Amino acid sequence: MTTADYRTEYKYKLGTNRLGLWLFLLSDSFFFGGLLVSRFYLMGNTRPHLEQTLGLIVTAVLLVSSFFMNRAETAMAHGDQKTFLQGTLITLVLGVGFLVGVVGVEWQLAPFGPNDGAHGALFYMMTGMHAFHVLTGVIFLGIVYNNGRKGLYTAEKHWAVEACATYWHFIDVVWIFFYPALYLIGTVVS
Amino acid sequence: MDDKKKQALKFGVYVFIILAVLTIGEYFIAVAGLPWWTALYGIAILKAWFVIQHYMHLPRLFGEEEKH
Repeated sequence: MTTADYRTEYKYKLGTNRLGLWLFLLSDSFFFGGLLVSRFYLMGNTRPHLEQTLGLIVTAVLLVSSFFMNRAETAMAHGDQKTFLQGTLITLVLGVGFLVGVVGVEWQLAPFGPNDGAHGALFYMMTGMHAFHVLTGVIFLGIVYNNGRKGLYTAEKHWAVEACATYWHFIDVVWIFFYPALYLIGTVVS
Repeated sequence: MDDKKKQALKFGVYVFIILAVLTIGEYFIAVAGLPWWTALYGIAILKAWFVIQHYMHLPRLFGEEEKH
């Protein structure tokens, strides 16, 4: 195989990889969409009593993590290994921070449990499934960071970094819709 | 190469600032008790569009951006 053939094949594979990832994200978004529809169907114009400041903090943490993920991916696309590693590590730490904020703090502070009616069931289901995706994203970030330290990615070939970044931003997009649905829209019921 | 990288990184900062302002905006709409629920979901859709378009690089899927 000549170098030109190899490049053509890599570009083709990259195209199919991107399509596969987006199809996966599309199918995953139907699941999250279903949860969102359930929230409005079962809770209507009410929302659970939650800690507003904490909600804003975890949202900010996820938003900042998305910024650093973008920075890391952009750096890798331009061959800047150091900024890429820094950005990936910061994203990973912020991802763990988000998990601690939601599962470690918000779940403990919430004045209801998962079996306390529709509010409880939906709140724990929505935040729990989202947190599970954050956890898998953190594992993905850990793998990419470790491979990055070994110098496995280059400006020309870094599909894993792009996939990880796209997945991480998808998690952010889901929270963009979950945050107002759980914390902002509707009147509080205790 | 360096200029291109700086420009790309700077663009990421601009998108982040827009997202931060929109997030603060929706927080204050809710805290003020304004019944602007449509506006809150409008803001969410706008934020999602910014992330999908500029952070997830959706145009890449259709080959509108350079491949690496």
